[in-house]
Parts: sequence; C-alpha cells; structure tokens
Amino acid sequence: MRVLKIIIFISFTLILACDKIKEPYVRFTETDDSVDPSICPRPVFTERATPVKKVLLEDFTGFLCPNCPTGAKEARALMTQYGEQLIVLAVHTGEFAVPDPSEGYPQDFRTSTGDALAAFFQVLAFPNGLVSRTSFRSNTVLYYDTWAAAVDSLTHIAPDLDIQIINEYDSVSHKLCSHIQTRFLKKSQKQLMLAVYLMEDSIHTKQKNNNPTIGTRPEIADYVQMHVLRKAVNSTWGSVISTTSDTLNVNDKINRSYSLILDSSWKSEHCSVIAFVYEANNKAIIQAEEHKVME
Amino acid sequence: MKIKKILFVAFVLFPALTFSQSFFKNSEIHGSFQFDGQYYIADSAIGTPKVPEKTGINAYGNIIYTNNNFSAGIRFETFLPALQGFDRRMNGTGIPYRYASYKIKNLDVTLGNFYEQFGNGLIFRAYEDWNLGYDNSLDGLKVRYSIGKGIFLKGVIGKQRKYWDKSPGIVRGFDAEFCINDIFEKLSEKKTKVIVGGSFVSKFQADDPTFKYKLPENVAAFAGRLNISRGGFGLNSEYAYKINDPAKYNKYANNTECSYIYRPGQALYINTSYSRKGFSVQLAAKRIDNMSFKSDRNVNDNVLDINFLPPLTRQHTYNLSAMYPYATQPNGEFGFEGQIIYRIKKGTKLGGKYGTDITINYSQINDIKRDQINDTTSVGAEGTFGYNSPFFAIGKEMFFRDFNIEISRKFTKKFKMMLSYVYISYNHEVIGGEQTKDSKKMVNAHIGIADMTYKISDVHALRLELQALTSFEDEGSWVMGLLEYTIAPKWFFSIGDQYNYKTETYDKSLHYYIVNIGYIHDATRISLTYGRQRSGVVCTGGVCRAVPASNGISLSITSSF
Amino acid sequence: MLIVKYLIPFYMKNLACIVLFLFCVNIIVGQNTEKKLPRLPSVNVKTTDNKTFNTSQISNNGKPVIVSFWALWCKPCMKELTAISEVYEDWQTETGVKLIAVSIDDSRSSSNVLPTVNGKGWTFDVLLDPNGDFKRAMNVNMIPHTFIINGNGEIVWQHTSFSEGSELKLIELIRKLNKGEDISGL
Repeated sequence: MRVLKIIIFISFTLILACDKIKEPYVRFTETDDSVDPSICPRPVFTERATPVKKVLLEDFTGFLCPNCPTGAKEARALMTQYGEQLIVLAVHTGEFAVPDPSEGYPQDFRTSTGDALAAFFQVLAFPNGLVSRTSFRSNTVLYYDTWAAAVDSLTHIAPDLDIQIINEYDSVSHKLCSHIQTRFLKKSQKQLMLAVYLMEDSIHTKQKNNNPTIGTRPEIADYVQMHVLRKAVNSTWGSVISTTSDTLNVNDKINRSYSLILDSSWKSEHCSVIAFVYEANNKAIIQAEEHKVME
Repeated sequence: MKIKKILFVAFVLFPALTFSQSFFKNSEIHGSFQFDGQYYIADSAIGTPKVPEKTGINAYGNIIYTNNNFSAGIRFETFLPALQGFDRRMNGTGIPYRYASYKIKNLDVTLGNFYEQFGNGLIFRAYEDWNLGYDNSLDGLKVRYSIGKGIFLKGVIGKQRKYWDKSPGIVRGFDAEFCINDIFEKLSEKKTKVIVGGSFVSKFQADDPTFKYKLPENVAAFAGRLNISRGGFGLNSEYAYKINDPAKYNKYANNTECSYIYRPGQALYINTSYSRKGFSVQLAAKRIDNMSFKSDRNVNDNVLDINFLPPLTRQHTYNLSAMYPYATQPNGEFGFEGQIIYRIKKGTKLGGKYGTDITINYSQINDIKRDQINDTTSVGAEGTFGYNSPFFAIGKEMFFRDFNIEISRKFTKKFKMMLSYVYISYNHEVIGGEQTKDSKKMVNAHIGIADMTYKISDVHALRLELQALTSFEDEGSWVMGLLEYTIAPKWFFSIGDQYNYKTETYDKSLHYYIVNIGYIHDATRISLTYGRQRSGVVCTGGVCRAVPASNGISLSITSSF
Repeated sequence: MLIVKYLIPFYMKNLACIVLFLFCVNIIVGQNTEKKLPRLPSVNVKTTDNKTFNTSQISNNGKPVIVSFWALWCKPCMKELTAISEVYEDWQTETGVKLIAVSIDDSRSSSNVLPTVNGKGWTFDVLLDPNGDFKRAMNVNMIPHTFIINGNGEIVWQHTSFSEGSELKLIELIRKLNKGEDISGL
C-alpha cells in the first residue's frame, strides 16, 4: 500500500513536468532596450584611434574556497602582464560563497547572474574560469593553470569590434547611467549580444587559504576581494544588438544606454562597468571593455 | 583512491563472501557472443567505397549472472572499425552496457542500462538491434511493480546511450497497465478480455538562453491504449500526444528545412483482426503527425529516439522484394494495411494432399495534409506553430504502396514450393531521401518469387530460389537465383547470383555473385561468405541503415553458453 | 540519506567493476560445487491477447517443453514451425511434448502473430516478446533458436538455425529425454 502511495505521488510530480510555451515563440526581437533619454541623456563618443583586443577572464571563486587565492594571484599576474588587454571578473557563486556569519563571513556576494553562468557552463570545482567564454584545447571551463596560455592565444588577434563606455553617476541618488557604443571594425552578419555587468573592487573580507606564499593558513583575516561581480546591468545574457538578418559594415555604430541604482552598501568609487559583446550561437566573447563608474 | 575503491567494494560484498557456498549455490553465469567481420576488396564496377583499413569488425560479448532473485549483466562491444554502412561514431571498444537487478516479491528494480517498452512504443521504447547498429538503452533506474494479478506499473528514468557517450537530455517515464478481467473477480470468466493502459514520458533538456526561440525544458508526451480480445476477434489500439517539442528534427517529407515548430504531436494506431483455425483477416490504420521524439533537440539523424513508431507494411524477407523497404516517416504519415491469410484444407482438390496457404496483403501510406496557420506564415516555417492538419484528411503525396500475394504448398513428401507476386510503389525521394538513379521520384516494381525445396533424403535438402524484379525506374530490372544445399543439422552451402540487366533507362549490367558455407553445432553458428553485395537498405522496425556496395569475404560467428 | 547521496553515484560509476568482481568470485567459489543445469529465467512476456505472462510459469506437468524463438520476418523460423506443425499432433501423442513458440516480432508485426498462427492452422502455444526481454535473458543472438526444457524446468539442450530435417533430431532428443537419458552433450 505504501509503495502504491509513493508511486502515485511520483506520477503526479511527473505530470507537472511539462512546459508549454505560449506565443510569441521568438525569444528576442531586436529592439533597442536602452533606457529613456530623459533618464539618461546621451553623451557624445569620440572614436578611439587604436582599439585593442581585450579578453575577459571570469574567475569563479568564493571566500570559503581555500584554493581560490592561488587563482586570484594568477589572474593578477596576468593583469600585470597584459595590462588593459585583460579584464578580470570574480564570480562568487556556489557552496564556497555561502555566507557564514558565525565564522566571520557575513557578506553575500552571490548573484543570480553568477549562479546562472556557473550552471550553464557547468563550473563545478574552483578555482576554474572562463577565458572570453571561448573553448581552449576543447574545454571552455579552464583550471587556473591554463589561463595564461588561453589568454595568450586570444590577445594577438586584431579586434573585430571596439567597445567604448561612458558612465555618469549621481552620488546622491546612486543612479548610474552607463552608455555603451559598439563600433564595428569588420563587416558582420551574426547574432550578437551585449551584456553589461557591474563589479566592485577592494572589498575587505576574510578568505580561506591554503597557499603559504599568499597569506596565512587556514584563513587570511584581511583579504582584498577584487573585481567582484555585483549585478548584471541589463541582464545575465544581455541584449540583442544585431541579428543574422542585419549586415553591419565597418564603422557602423550601435549605441545602448542602461541605468542602474547602486546598492547603498557598494562603494561607488570602487565600482566599474564591464561590457562585452558575444556571439549568440557559441557564446564566445568577441570584445570586452571596462570603465570605472566614477571618472 | 583506487585502493579505497577496491576496499569499499570488498567491504560491501564481504557478507556475501562469508556465506560463500550457500550464497553461490544457485548462481549461474551465461552469455553469448557474436563476431561479424569482413575483409573488403575494392570493386569499382559496383561502386564500392574506399576502405583504408580493408577490414571491419563488429563484435560483442554478453555475460549474465543470476542468483535467485538477483541478476547482473555486462556487455562488451568492439568495432575496430565498424563494418561499412554502420555509423562511424560506433568505432571503438568498451563496455557500453551493464546492469544489476533485484526482485523482491512484486517489485523488480534494475540499476544501470536497461531496455523497456510502453505499450506499442509510441512514446517510449528503449531497445537494441545488432544488425541495424541501433542501441538506445537508458542508463539509470527502472522499477516494475505489480499489484495483484492485473495491475502492472513501470517507472523509468535515465539518460540514453549515444554510441560511446550519453545524451544531454534526461528521460523519465511512467506506465500503468490494467488487465480488467484479472482486477475484477466477476469478470475473470468473461469471454471478452480487456486491457487498458496509459503512459507518460517527459524529457528534460536545459534551455539555451541565447537561442533565438524560447525552448521548453520539459517536453511531455502521453499515451493511452486499449486492447480487446474475444474469441477470434482482436483489437490493439493506442493514441499518443506530445506537447510542444521544437527541435531540429521536426523535418518532414519534402520539407527538410522544417525545424523548431511548436505544434503538438499526435499518433493514432489501430489494429483489428479476426482469426480462427485456417483463416484470418487483419485491418490496420495509422496516423502520425509530428511524432519524432528525441532526447536531444539538436540532433537530426538516426540517433537518440525515445519512441518507436511501427511501420504498417509487410516486412519482406526475400532480396528483391526487400529492395525498397518502407521506413516510418515520424513527422507525418497516414496509412492502411489489410491482410487475409487462408489455408485451403488438405485433401481437397484445390488444396492438394497437404493443404495450401494463401496470404494476400495490401498496404498504402500517404502523407498527411498540411495547411497554413495564417496567410503570412508558410507551412512548416521555423519558430512558428508550423501548420494545421485536419485529423481525417489524407495528404496527396503517396509514400508507399504494396500489394502482395503468396501461395505455398507442399506437393509431395519431398517437394514444396512457394510462389509470390509483389507490386511496390516506392517514393524514393521521401523515403530514400533522394531521387532515384535516373532522377525520378517514384519507383514502381513488379516482383515475382519462386522458392522450391526438394528433400533428397531425411537430412539432405536442396533449395532453389528464383526472383525477378522489373522496373523502369532507378536501377532497372533484376533477376536472382540462389541454390542452397543443407545437411541437417550441421552444414549449409549456398551459391547465388543477382543480375542487374540492361533496360531502356538504365544502362549497366552487373552480376552480384555470392558463395556461402556454414557450420552449426548446437548453439554455435559459423558462416563464411565470399562475393559481391549490392548497395541497399536494411530495415528493422522503422529504423533503416544504408549499406554500401561491397565485395569481399565475410565471416560471422555466433555462440551462446 | 548521506549513504544514498554517496553510495548510488559510486555504485553507478563502478557498476561495471562490481559486476566483473561478482563473476570472478563466483567462478572461484563455484569451482567446487556440482555442475548444475540452468533453469528458465523469470521474465515477463505477453500472451497473444496481450496479457502479461511470466516465463517461470512455463511447465508441462513434468513432461518436456520445446521453446523456440522466431519471428514472422525470419524465413528459416517459419520453415521450422511449419515443419513441426505438420508432425506436432504425432509428437504430442507419442511424447507429450509441448511447443511454445516465442515471437520476437516488435510492435510492427506483433499484432500479426496470432492471425498468422491461426491462419496457417498452427496449434502450438505462442508467446510474444516484443522488446526482446526474454530473448536477451536466454542469450539468443540469431533466430531460430530452439531450447529443450526437461520436466524439472531445466534447460538441457539448445540449437540455433534450422535446416530441412532438423526437426527429426529434435523429436529424437525428446524421446531420449523421456527415457531418462542425458542429452546435454548431443
């Protein structure tokens, strides 16, 4: 009898397992989802003379992860080596980012964006990262020891796009207006997405650690978290800026403007906006850019 | 870590080892293996493909361990490389199949790889066919539970096998079957026997957030079936419904571009028959609409099918009548089949001394009718509902028509003969995927077959098979002769030739000769063949495999222990 | 719950190893036990009116049973069953043997099995095994594959393929079995 009840219960839960999609079936229509100009007046962009290819390194980490300071150190070393060509974003997600106030880890750096990225790319162990979300030696999720080679393989390529960001921030209302211009350097006819994220530097927390060359073990009392992903400004997967039926020629420009109210606990002087454009079908990032919130 | 694993396994099995003798008292190990190998000789006349390795080997070994209510099995497979005509992704060696199962009273649990079918398979069938190179076993958990005498419940969950890998989607299903006569005591003596069943299958595949269309992550399918039998009458019917399943494989008939449509799928299958000793009549009808159901929406070829849609045509067993076999069109077809079998009694004038068997069979399959959903959307347009299809309307395009009649009679104690005539109309463009060799859409063929056996003595027999196919399309006309000599039960030899002779439209005459010798000892069979094999299609059920032309020596060994 | 969380994934990952380990142990331990005859496995198949039937119920009141795997599309199988049908009544009168023909036709032709059997006037029992569960449990690769089951439900003989005249050997073995002889080596 009990087995029968269990079976009936399971069968009911199964029946609920169906998704019916309602019209419209199309996920994106190419509309400009920029915020109204009355909220964020549009600035004027000056064309950059020598655009360079920039790579985005997304480091999946957490303050409870003892192996992660090693990964962060590697990321910093690469930043020194590649300068403006490398942009780093620390994505705090998963069990190593769960707050533990009793142990001295009260902050919560987890974001729905970070969780969605970890789930989609199947980032299971830390410190692992994505280098421009591009496959390197048939893997997209890379352990920190392959970051150097992966970054190197992408930085020598001439950029297809140039992304420029102009930020306007009102410290009273905490309103950020972020304007992004994408300028095409090569002809393109692909479905491209623009994603804009907000990150914060220099956050002091405790950090579990097992690398003696970096700090004390088993934890570092005062560790500086850099490039922490705080929120997606438009959305995790971004907005459509071109579809396969649009042909974009050299020097064509697409502008988008987004606004975000910064949380009062975030220090705006440490915040930056990261914008990147990627191809919808393979998710690989073509170009990235970062710019501080406060000039 | 490895030592830890071994210790853990040993620890788990330690209690069993201490009871060694009694535990293993009822244990048995059985298995089987099969080896199919071929050595390829280049033969440009018949158009053999290049085979750089010169050989192909398909082999497997199966071991099953049983001990009272516990059983476990393992299958080892090797394709080094796979024979020509089998998917190249099969190449490799490994253990793709292993399971352990345990029975406790009414409950039967299997963990690992398993095969299972719900009803007729319209929404779920996991099965394997070695000759087709088809194996979509589910790797996961299967539970079977029976309540009383008449209620049978099944639950499955797992990931499908895809050659040496697994599908990205998860398949879950549940089936319940009720034998009404066994459930209700009052009805157990009634002559009419009714069986009702229902099943539910759902597949899960993560959405792609940047894909241009919104994709359902859980796609569900339902099916209900009704079987009635009374005396000589029988009814086997099943209806299946699949909720939106936009995928690359929504393509149908002449529109191979159609994909990602949001139309639900439907299948209705009805089979009625009446039979008594010496006579039977059977009528079946089937309608299928958008019922291709795979566990990966990005796949478009012959893999990862969750369901099985049975074709409604007679399966021919002779070379020439099986030259144009029908394959179910999962995304749209409407078909009928009728068959009469009659046995003229022995001792009558018409029946002869031993009686005569007559079989007449007719089947026809057409496309379904598809209408536009509105004025601006074309039929089967991507990312839309697709099309409307009135349920009882039959489409104009004919896929297949088969009329065949077969008469077999034993004339004397030593001599018997079977004569058969088949007429086939085959839509080469839709079923074969391309036009005929002479750029036509349909192939019409008349086929005549005579199969005669003469028993020289009790155990020595000679069999002669003569076949002829005439057609003005595709490869034209053929004749075939095969002479087989058997010494029961151990030996068999045969020699044959298939000759594609010149016709007005097709200007090539080729002989496909073949010599075969074989030996059987109990459950072991060895067969050696040398000769040419023409390119063709091997079909079992609704799944077909194209076989390229080949010339060479092939060896096949099969054994069970 | 913790056991379930770790035990099941471990079990699945190492299932192949565990099964192989079982075989080895069985072979080692089984060396000293008597060689036993295998029994029919207990598998659910269907009768021709689609009712579920368990193969462990196959019996013939202590008399032998012939189990033959066949399909409508298998020419030699049809020949074997036709040959046996011609002498079946005599066989039954003489030895009391029962033939159970298990059809492995899948749902394409399984509905056609009973009409064909009746239409040809065959009188033996027919079971349906549409997904091949019984066929796999009996390690049948090629059909026709025929087994002889003795009065105790043990499998004493098996043979694959059919040639004209093979049915004569079959009845001879049944006669020998009825006399109490050991036919497993023949």
